[in-house]
Amino acid sequence: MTHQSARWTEPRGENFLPFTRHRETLLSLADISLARNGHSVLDHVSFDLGRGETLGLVGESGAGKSTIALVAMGLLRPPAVTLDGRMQFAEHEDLLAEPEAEWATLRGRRIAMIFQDPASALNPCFTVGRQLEAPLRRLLGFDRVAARRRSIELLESAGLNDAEARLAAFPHELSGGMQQRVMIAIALACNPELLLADEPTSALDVTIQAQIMQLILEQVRARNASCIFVLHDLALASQVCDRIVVLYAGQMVEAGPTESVLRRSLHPYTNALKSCVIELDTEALTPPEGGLPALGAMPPGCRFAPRCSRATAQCTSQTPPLRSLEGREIACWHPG
Amino acid sequence: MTETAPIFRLLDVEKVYQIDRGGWSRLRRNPPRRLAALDGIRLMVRAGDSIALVGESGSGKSTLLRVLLGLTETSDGRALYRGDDIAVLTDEKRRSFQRDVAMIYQDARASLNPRLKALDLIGEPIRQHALCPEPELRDRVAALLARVGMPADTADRYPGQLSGGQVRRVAIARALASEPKVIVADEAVSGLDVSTQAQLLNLLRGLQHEMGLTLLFITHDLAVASYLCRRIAVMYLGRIVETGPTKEVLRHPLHPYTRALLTASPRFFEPIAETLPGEIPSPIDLPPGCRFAGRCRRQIDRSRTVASTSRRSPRRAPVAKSLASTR
Repeated sequence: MTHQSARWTEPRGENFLPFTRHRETLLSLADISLARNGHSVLDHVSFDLGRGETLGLVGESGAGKSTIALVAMGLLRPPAVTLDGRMQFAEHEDLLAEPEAEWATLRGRRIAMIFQDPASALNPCFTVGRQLEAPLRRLLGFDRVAARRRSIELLESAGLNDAEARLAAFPHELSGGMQQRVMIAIALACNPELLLADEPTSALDVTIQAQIMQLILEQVRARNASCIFVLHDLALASQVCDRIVVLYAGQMVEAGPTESVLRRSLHPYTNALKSCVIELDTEALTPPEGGLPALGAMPPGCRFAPRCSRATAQCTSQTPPLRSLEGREIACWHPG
Repeated sequence: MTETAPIFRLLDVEKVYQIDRGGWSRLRRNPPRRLAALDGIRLMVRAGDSIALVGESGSGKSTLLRVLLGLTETSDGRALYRGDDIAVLTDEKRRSFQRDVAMIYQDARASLNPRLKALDLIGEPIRQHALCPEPELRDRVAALLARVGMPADTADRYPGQLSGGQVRRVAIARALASEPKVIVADEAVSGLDVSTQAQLLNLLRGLQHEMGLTLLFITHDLAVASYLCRRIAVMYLGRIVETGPTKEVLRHPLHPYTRALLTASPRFFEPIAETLPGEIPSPIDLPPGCRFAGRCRRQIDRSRTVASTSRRSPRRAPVAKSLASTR
């Protein structure tokens, strides 16, 4: 396969592809439904991700954002959960049906993940160098010297000063921001085609958040990789994502280009989320009352109906289908 | 605004931790290293005031809180509560201090005993200060729960049965139980969903207005600070670098660090801001001069060596920067 060797070329630096509408599809999720202990966690989630595209999954906790990332990483699989639907990735037509052996060739190598809490995702018993060299040696067959040289390059490109000395450091000797840089370096070690970033900056200060987001975007663009961000900050999502998928209680409620979904939102839930965002000149906040329904007690019809000001009898009895409207997909009986 | 009596006054408070180097250094009797967590803090909190302390992690916000609550002794300077030194309150005054000043902790779940029901968690301060006879306790707790927007049957639940937002509400109810005059909150709304955060912010704002509480709010989010607090104090490495009315400071920040914090907050549809280089340095054995100099874009040799102490700008309280006027 040609693209596998091509992935070894150096990142293309500043010459990343500009935004294009017609991209080759890299990842396609179709009707993904996931249930745990008989409770539905994801309900018919479908979206495509083009090569070089960034997509943001947004919603409250419990909406299923991280679950989608774990499914795409192949970390949440039967028999722990019941999983239906189809996941197409590059030349793999239906990855969910493939055995663990096939996943093992992809995970970490072509699909990589940056976790929310770097302090708990890095192994406290091993040095940064050992954790960074492991994927290089194991997945790419580097020898010790080459792996070390490449590790230094990776740490430098992740913005760590004094990279050679950092290889000998244990995770607890680094600040939160530096730990996150190490995890980004590990995730990008094998030049993955798909990067999953699960709230990569929620444990960090705002100044460091800006640095880390900038770094992820640069690195992803330099490799023409695709990236799925799991975010709860809509303002941040609007800054880094080409497209947005808004989730509520395991269902997609609105999805499309960031501009349409966040600037001209049509779903009442997207609007409710926007009304919670606090900015410097915010005088009054009008958050929706209550919270997400419990896993075992999903309301019939539209799951947002109990909190929605626009809900009618139709909303509480029939589930709205996902349909196209004004350049986005939306699941609502009364959009606008 | 009429001048009311100061509740808290911090007079050049310093807190220095000695760090034992251990091993050979100890045998050689090398001097221990100094970690200056607070360095010359001056702050006045008046009754009915609301003050936000903002800054990155490591800037000394939480140490300042511990000093205000009398949990940490100062190395130098004095921390006064209604004119009395917090560290040496008499037993009687300490009891009233503990009743008047309530704390909402950063990690609400960890601050609540998992083996106690909400009834006992919220009832504990009431019993401690003997605020009502035992038979009326349940009604009193129910009233407090209602105040924070929770149903009365929450009283029979354990913290483990409550969601993140609900646990915070119970922690707020517990803080209100002793009928305090001052609420000190450490990152009370961070790490929550935007919707839960917005609900809690509205709750805190309401309580503040209805009960006339004095609020000291630690946050790293400038927008949260401007939503809740009239005044703001921006901290960096143990110093207050800029303070004044929140709206004024955020509209016209004078200190480069305040400006950097402002630009770093994400804004809708704007490209990610040009980032502040580097991280907050280690507070051990700091070099002389301005603490922010290493990350400052306007840094020149002067600010590195001239120890910049707070000075008053014509319009408002201290801006600690030797270049602040040369915008």
